[in-house]
Amino acid sequence: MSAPAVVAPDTLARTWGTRRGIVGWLSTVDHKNIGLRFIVTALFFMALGGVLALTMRTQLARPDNHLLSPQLYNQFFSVHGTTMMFLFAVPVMMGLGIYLVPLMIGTRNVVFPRLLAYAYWVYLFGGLFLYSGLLTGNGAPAGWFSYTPLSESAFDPTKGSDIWAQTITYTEISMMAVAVTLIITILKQRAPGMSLNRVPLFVWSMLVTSFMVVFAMTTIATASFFLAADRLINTRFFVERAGGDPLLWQHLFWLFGHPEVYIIFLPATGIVSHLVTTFSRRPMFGYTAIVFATIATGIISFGVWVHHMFATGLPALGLSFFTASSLVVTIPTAIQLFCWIATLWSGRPQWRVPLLFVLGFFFILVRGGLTGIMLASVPFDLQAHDTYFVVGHLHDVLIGGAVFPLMGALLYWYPKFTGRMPSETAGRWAFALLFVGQNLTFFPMHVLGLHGMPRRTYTYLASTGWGSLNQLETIGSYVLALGVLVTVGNLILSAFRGRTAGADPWGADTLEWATTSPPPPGNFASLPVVESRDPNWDQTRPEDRPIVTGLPPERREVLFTTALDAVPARRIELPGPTVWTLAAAVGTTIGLVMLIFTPWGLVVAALLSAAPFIAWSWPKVGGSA
Amino acid sequence: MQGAHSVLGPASPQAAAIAHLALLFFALAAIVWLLVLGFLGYALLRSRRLGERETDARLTRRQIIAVSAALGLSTIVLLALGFVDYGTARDIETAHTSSSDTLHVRLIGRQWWWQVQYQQRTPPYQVVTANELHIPLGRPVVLTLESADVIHSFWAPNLHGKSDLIPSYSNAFLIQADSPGVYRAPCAEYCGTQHAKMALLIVAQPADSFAAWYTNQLRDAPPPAGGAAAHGREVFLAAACPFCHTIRGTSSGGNVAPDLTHLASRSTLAAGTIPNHRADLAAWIANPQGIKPGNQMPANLVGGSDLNALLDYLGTLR
Repeated sequence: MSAPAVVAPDTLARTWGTRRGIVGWLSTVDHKNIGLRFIVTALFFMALGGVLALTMRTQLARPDNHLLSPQLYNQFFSVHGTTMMFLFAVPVMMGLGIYLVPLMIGTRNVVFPRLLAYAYWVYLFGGLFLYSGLLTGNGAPAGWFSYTPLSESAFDPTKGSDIWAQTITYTEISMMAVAVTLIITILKQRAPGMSLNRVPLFVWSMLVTSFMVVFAMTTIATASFFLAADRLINTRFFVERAGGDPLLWQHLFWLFGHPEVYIIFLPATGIVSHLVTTFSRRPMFGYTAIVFATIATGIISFGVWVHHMFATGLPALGLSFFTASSLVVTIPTAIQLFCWIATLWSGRPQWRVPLLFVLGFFFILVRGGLTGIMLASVPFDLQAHDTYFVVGHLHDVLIGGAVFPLMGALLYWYPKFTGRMPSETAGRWAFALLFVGQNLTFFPMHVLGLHGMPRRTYTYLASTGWGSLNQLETIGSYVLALGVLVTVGNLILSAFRGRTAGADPWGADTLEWATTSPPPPGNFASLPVVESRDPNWDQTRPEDRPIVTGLPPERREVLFTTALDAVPARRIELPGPTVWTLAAAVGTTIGLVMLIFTPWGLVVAALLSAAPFIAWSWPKVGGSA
Repeated sequence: MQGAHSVLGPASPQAAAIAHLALLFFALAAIVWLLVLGFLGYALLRSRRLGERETDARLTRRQIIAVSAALGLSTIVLLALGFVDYGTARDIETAHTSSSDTLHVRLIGRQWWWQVQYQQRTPPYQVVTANELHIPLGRPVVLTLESADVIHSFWAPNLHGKSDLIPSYSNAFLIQADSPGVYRAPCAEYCGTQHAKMALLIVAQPADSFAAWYTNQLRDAPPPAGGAAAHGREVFLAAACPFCHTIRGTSSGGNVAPDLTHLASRSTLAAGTIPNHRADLAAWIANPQGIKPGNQMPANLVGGSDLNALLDYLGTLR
């Protein structure tokens, strides 16, 4: 092929760029735009879920409080949980993956960019749908877990549980689309030379996570479909009076629900690996062990779900199997923790703000992991289950284990996103507030649980003696919220005021730092060839490193490489911008909203989505899709 | 009522075994947590000031040894915890085999109160009450846990862990109290609007006072001799009350709300929500939705002297 070795930037921008104006904004298929949209939207939903949490904490600040009615409180905690799990934690990690994976593996875009654009719109509409329910008095009333029969029409005559089930459908569609896109992108589009044993650890974690999403979301899709059918067309999957089984729901839900926790946690471990490597300035110790630990976690996490059901009266022998698997699942995480510490030990830690979040992660996650081990014990769990002890535990592992690394990640990759550095001072303040707030809010919950406070209660009697610890937790939650505000302020203001970052402000090892900040359309002026695990730390000068040639710059072509060794295999052309993805998402949304009123919604959804689907796949004359 | 619902204040062999296990867990967890953080602190403070791209075979070897040792230790601790856990579970299982001595009680969860039915082998003796479970000290009690609507969970932290009440299932759960006291058992599975105000009181008492209580509960409510209480009985029967409630010895026969035959002998109202004093009872009858919003009891229009008479009558139901 006779294409020039180094492509003129304006040619690349013409080929890979997004159209200007509102149409360009709506039609973009650039993974960087879509990834940032996922992240920003997820943070927006986090703020909404956070406001619900603060209101609940204010309600619980003193006994017999009347700020929230029981009905409203119950909707608040249901929507809070649903938001944080389905609309914040998973999408934000996926958004980070969508943004970073193509950059880290040295390619120009994901393999199914239009599917990704569709996934974003479906996610956005699904999230708004959940909140439209809350605002119209149809907030989900049966918890983020929607146990049957409480979520069946006999006990929830509102539209709340329908909206809940449908919100789950939206996120299933969206996350499945993202997951298959990432899997194929990671397996087929890595830069030449990036064999599987050179793949950055964050990319590994996204690969395992995406496979988990495919399996876990299938389970919840089945469950939420059964529930919606029970409510809409009177099937009897979970209705005991008609031969259904309310416990079936719990099995299906937790077979999804526990992997879900690791779907949130594994990307966070990938983040920590990168922060540790960069700020200790050493290659990761135990790379292979960490990769296998990540895979092992992904697999074992599908075998622990019954530890959420110890109190349901299942046979003791069966329960003991799940105790064993719940203990075993901690071992891969322990491997990762020890490897990170060993890496820090070997290097020269640089005390930048993202590393502080890693320390906070250690402090809180290890505590949460240890309380998790306790909950694997059947006798102990029978006491702690469904009490504030579990609330404390789960917020330790989710905030300490996922939100702290996420905050570190947002600050760490911020220069890449915006081209400017975030404020260190604001970052330190935010860290201090988040750290103090998290501990103040969630540590006392363990004590309250042991003193008998059940979860999901809108108030408590003064005579219980739970008042002062609850008050402390409420103060802690305000501190935590202040930390989030400082972080958000930092992220917004630094986009205007921050120092210009340059391509590689941290001196990091992976490929996303080998291109400008923010990366141009098409990501790299010339596609890199990889010769080591830390390509950006190679001794060669950047201009001497090998690059990929032979792709025509005026077409959206990327290189497909083999799955194991990343040997160049063939060129493929990726599709460009289109508004049909948005049209398809609108069609899906109209159908799914109708589906809570009539089964015909399914037909409408199929018809309204099918036309745009066909339009977006229609081949362009001249062979380019 | 403080301490009446604490995992760490055991009043039974089962809860004692779990509390013991919990304390062991806490001690071990604290040690492991400090070790990991100590290891981390050491790594950060004593880290090698090596050149950025230098490799050091000796260091790598030490890393491998340290990580393997930490991993081995973790595995041993996990195995030990597993064994201790199984041991505790088995102790709890085998501590009591139900004997002729065992008391059998059927406990039915309802939105949002507890129906208590003592299962006696010799009919016609059957005691039915609500929201208060009396048990004799030192005797095993087998609860048959059932639900009339959604899933609830029985949990008396001082006596044992939880067991769910699931519609169409029937879970057997053995408890026992060795120290006298009133233990609080809040519903532990989210069951809808008033999940927060659904507590069962467990009164553990010596055998003789239990027997006296039980004998009293077997009695029907006698009609009052006269006066305001007799009028109150008529008020009760004429109002909507009998559609849901039963007072044995009258024509009332409702079964979807607490049995009131011995209402005055109970210490709380509305499933452990308010004390059973005359003023509280009056407030409850007049405006149950104000005290426990969303519960199944409608407001009543009984007022003035009728309400006073009704309260007089209910006060006789000891």
